Amino acid sequence: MITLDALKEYGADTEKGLAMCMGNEALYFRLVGSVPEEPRFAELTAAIEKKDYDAAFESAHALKGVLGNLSLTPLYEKASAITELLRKRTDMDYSGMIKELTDAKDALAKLCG
Amino acid sequence: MEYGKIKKVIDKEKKGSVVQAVVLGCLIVAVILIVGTVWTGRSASIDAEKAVRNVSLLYLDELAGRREQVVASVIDDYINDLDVALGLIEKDDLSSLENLQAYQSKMKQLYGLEKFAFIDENGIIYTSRGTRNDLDQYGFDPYALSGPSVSIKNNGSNDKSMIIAVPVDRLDLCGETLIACFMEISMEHFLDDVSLQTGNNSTTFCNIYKSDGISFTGLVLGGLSAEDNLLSALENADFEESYSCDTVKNDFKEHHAGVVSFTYNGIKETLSYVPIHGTDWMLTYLIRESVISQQIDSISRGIIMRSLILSVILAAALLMISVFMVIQTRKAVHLASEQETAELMQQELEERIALQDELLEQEKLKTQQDNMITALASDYRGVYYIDLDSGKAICYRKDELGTDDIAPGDEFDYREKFSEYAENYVLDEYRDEFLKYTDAGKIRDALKENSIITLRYLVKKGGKETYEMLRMAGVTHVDDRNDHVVHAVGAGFTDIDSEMRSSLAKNQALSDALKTAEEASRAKTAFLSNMSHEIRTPMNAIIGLDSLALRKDDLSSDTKEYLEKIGASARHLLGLINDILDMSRIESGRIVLRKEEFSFRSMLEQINTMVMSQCSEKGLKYECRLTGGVADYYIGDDMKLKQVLINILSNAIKFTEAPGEITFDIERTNVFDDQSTLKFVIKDTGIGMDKSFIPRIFDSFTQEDGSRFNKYGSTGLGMAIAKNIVELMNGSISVESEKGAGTEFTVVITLKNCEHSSFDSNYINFNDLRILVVDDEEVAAEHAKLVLDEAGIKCRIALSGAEALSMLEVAHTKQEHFNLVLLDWKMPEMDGLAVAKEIRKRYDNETTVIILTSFYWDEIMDEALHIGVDSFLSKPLFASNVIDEFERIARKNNMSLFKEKQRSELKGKRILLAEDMEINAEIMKEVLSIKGALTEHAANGRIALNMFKEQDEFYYDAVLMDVRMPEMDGLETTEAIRALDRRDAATVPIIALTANAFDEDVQRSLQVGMNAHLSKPVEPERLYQSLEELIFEAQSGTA
Repeated sequence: MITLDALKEYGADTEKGLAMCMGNEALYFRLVGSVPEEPRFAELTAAIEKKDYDAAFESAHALKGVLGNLSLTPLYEKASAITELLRKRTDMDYSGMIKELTDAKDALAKLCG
Repeated sequence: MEYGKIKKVIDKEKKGSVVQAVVLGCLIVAVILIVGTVWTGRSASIDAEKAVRNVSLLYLDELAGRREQVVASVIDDYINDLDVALGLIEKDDLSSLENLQAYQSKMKQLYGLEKFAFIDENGIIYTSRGTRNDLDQYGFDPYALSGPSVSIKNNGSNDKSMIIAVPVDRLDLCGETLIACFMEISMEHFLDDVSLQTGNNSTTFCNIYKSDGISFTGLVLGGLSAEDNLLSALENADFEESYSCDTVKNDFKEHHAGVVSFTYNGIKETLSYVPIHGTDWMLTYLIRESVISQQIDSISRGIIMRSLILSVILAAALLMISVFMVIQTRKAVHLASEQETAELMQQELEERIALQDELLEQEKLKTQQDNMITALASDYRGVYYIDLDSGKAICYRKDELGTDDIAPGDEFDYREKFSEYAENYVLDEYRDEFLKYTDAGKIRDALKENSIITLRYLVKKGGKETYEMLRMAGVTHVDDRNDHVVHAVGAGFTDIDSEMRSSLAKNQALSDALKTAEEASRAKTAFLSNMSHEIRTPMNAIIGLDSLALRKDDLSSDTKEYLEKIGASARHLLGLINDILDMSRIESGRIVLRKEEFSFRSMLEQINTMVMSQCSEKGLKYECRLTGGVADYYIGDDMKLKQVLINILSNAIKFTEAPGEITFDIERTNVFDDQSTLKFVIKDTGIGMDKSFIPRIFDSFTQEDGSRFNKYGSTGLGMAIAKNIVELMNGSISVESEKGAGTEFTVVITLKNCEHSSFDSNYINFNDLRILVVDDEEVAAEHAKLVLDEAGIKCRIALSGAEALSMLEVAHTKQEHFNLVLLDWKMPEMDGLAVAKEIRKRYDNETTVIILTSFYWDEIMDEALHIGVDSFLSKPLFASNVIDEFERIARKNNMSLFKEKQRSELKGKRILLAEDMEINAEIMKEVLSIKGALTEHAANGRIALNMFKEQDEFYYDAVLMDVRMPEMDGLETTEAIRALDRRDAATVPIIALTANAFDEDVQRSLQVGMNAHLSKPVEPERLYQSLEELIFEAQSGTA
């Protein structure tokens, strides 16, 4: 069962996240719980593999927005880093960063599990 | 005494051994001296011998060499003589044999010759006496002669003569040819010539030998040998090492010089020989070594003798010294032993005396201690020694009123007895304490802290309650023991009843007195505070009612005058009370100056506001001037400072009649370290004072003219208070005055500088302030930005009106308005007024606009205010000016940081939300639902567009448009909506939502027709505000 404490420990700024949800804890938890299932993660990974940086940027940017809204800081920071690189369509090996992002997402999934 | 005897024996033994050692030492020294002397003598004689020998050899060589030269030169002389003689021959002399013989006779006589002869071809010898045929006798071959020849003619036995022969140039003598000429010189003559004739007893012998060893003199080895041949004689000699007869023979044969040493006939001799130039002879020098040895021996003997004498003298001296030392030592030893004996006796005596003294001292001490113990113990009813470890106690003293069966000297278990005592005598309320106090562990603990511990308690004996004291001290101080634990204590019981009772009584009296004093002090404080309250309350009532009464219209002039006097008196009384309170606070030192940061500017404003109104009431001119870099903020007590200044200013007003003038000058005269000195000069054109009064002006309750009291209604305390406060501030106050001309007060104080750089404002939080500075002069714009940045105000700059408008547009769209636009008046293309006009046109009252100018703005003021400019500021810009002015405008317009726009309620409003991310959409829905808005969600732009198309006109009150969406993004969707042919297409507010906050993005949103651009994550308040305002705008416009 997901808790505020667990999220805090995970590194999320739960106060800010909750404020975004107008203090609606149930909504916040539901939304946070839906993050690991977010298809944009898979889309981002696939687009980067295909070196389709336009699509990758779209996905990363969208993810960044969502993660920022929920103040899931560890995920948000990683997504931001990828987004900024992709904004300039930087051609590089993203596998390390993607792995970090995926690991952080999996960690969150565990919390929500 | 036994020791002394032994010592003497030892001393004797010591003395014997000393003498032995001295004698032995002397002997050894003497032996060493003698042996050394002999040895040195010997080695000296050997060395001398060697030296003499070397010198002799050198001498021999030298002598031989010289004599050889003599011999050679004598022979040369002979040859010369012969040549000369031959040169004297004349033809006549050869004309006949007789003539020749005559010539020969003459020459023979002239040169002292044995013979002067010629030899012819036939070997016939022609002498002065006739011819001869014994040519072979002369030892030379006339036919082989090529030059002078020297030979020896042996006349038999030792008689020899010397022959010098020279060839002649074939002289013709009566048919005979003479081929050679010679002369014969007797050996004796020759030896005379070369000074070789020697006598006996000589040490050296010079001789000439033929190379075969035949002696010229006939003597061999100085006549030692009977033979006439040296070489054969030497065959019998014993040669010394490295010499041999053969060497000599060989040297003689080869004509070499040399030297040999040998012993012949038992006589040691050294022979030096050199060849004689121009002959085959050898010249020898012989030295009898016996002679040398004798010389050497005599020298050596001399040396040895002298050394021996020296040794003897030395030994004698040594002996004398030793003897002297021995005598001295004996004396010293004797003296020392005598002294020691005396000392021993002395010591013994002293020891005895010391022992006696000690015993006496101990006895005395014991008596003293006993006395002391008795004296001390007399203070104690009972004295005990307690061993804490064993629990055993010994009684030392006990009074006759003793309460138990213990007598002095008894040993007992202290715990048992003490508990018994506690049980029987100590009162209930003290018993536990007593038992605790006498616990061994507790005693130990307590004695660690204090050297003596004391317990006072009450006992009941014989039905009477008395105070008793039990005192304990460690018998050995804790520090004296390694374990730092008290093992034994002395305990003393004392009756302290009378002392205790009197002390308690005293304490009681003291505490009563203190209580009384405190009460009195409290009463005074209460009185003062009550006075301030209790008297002021009715006083306020009096003043209030009095002023109410005065408003009545139907007052007779008398009543009115009475009422006015009542009011004046009441106000005066109130002032008096306040001043008295102040003064009492100062005098009791209860005034503490604050050291707080304060706004000097605002303090001054308050003063000026008050003074100005009073002055204008009274018709006085008032001017406040600030010079010399007075800062905005200082650290100090602004309340007190204000009190002082108002006091002086009030006086100035009070004593100045219209049309007078009051000036207030403030100057910073000095800045050092972190402090500033400020000078306040308050000058009036009032009645002034007499010089004689000036010194008393700061005294309490003094006024120059008692009659003034009524007229001016002052207490006479004001100046005293002012002076006291200024002095508390370490400042100074002074006054100059001239009767009828006016008075000038000068206050100088030092305040701590304040590093305050922010500007407190209760009204606005300037951290939220966003200012746009518009100035075509980049330097001026940058300066303004710097000043504002330092004050912590967010500021951006635009270098032209156009740029400013563009920035304002972006800010407006982002809903991040500038609160304040500072517009430079004079700018090319578009001046400040034009920009202000445009701002008002586009954004209404969204922003406050202030015109900046270095000029007087009077000429444009009306126009500017008409356009909607809020205020003016002069350049150069100061942050505090800007804030003050902004605050002033805000107050005036009764607005908060932003000018409020009219808004619509969101409740019931229908919002179309185009957002591809489900989570974001959920959040947005939640946010909007709080305000009661209805949200319809479209997962992308195309869906949103379709939804908008399908609904009736004005169905949606607003659209929230995510910019980045798949299929159709926010920009395309907005364009499409705006392009729809329906009435709400152009007016429906569309707000862009994006994480991109770049100005280009904002511009793009605006280009496609969006109304606002909100950055994600969207702050709910800003979203509400934007929606409310935009919806209001859209709907009021269309309505």
